[in-house]
Amino acid sequence: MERFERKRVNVDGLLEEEPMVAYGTQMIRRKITIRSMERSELSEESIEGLVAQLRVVSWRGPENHCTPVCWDFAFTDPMIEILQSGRGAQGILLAHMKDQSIQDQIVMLLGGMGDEESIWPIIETLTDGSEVTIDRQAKRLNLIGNLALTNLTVSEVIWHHGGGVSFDQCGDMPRSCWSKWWLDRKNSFKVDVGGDRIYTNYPNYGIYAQFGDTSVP
Amino acid sequence: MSCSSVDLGKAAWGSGAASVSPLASYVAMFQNPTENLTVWPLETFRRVYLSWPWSLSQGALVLVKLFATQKAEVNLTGIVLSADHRCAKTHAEDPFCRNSDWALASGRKTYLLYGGHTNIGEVRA
Repeated sequence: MERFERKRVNVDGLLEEEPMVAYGTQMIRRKITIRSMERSELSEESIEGLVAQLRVVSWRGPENHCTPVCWDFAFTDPMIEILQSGRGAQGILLAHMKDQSIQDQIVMLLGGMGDEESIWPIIETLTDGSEVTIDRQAKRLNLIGNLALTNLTVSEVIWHHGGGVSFDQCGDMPRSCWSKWWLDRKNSFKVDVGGDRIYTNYPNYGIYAQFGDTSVP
Repeated sequence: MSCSSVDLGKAAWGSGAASVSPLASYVAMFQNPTENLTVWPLETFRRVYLSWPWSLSQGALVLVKLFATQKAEVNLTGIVLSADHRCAKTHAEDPFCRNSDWALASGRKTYLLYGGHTNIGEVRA
């Protein structure tokens, strides 16, 4: 199974769906007993088609609607499809990084399926400055960049691993904080080699997601 | 119908005028102690006797609905996720471990993946 890790596949098998109630919410546990599995990569043309859809389907952006953490990423359908196309999409997404109309989505997607090649281009989208000195779009990009970089690096630059109320570790200087972190490690760092992906207040997403036993119906 | 734990409780004990749940009988027993001193053993027995088949059938119905497992042949495309903590041999003792070390994210749903060496042998790279 290891050779299929974080790859796009086609699976044949027997699906068992078992309804269950967890903490008062109806959930479903879905199990597949595999009969066969094979690689199923998307072509470059297909991925470019999905990127084109990003310009049409608007994305509300990530929201945390409780304290300390209830993140809702509100991924659109084309975003989900790109996240599940695997690392083959990274080069295509990086080529669209300068497109201002979808830059926020590209950053979020690279955080979910990119590797160390994506880290510096994402850092370059960040802006240092306080609430009064940077605009709304820059604040939005800072939030999305912080989510994406934490997902790739599993670091504690912004969110710490422990419990309790999340506190701001970096303040108004995300670009400086991440730049320093990256310059200290860029020669040796590999995405998803080592590190603790279990955060109390930070949600993993994309192909690095921590999956649970159940999911919503 | 949304089967929250609250619904489960209502359905199991009944809430209509025609049925009196055992719980309601016990509660009523303490609301008027003087009256209950004279009638409660017989009345409670009658109410429990009359209502338990209904309650039991409703409870069983909810349980069957909750735990009924549906099976189907599927062909799905998605991306293979792996758990960080691979501890299938020890997960009974480790609360962080999952029932499967692998999952398939397909669309907005996640499927736990199972397959022993016999059928993983059919997997094609």
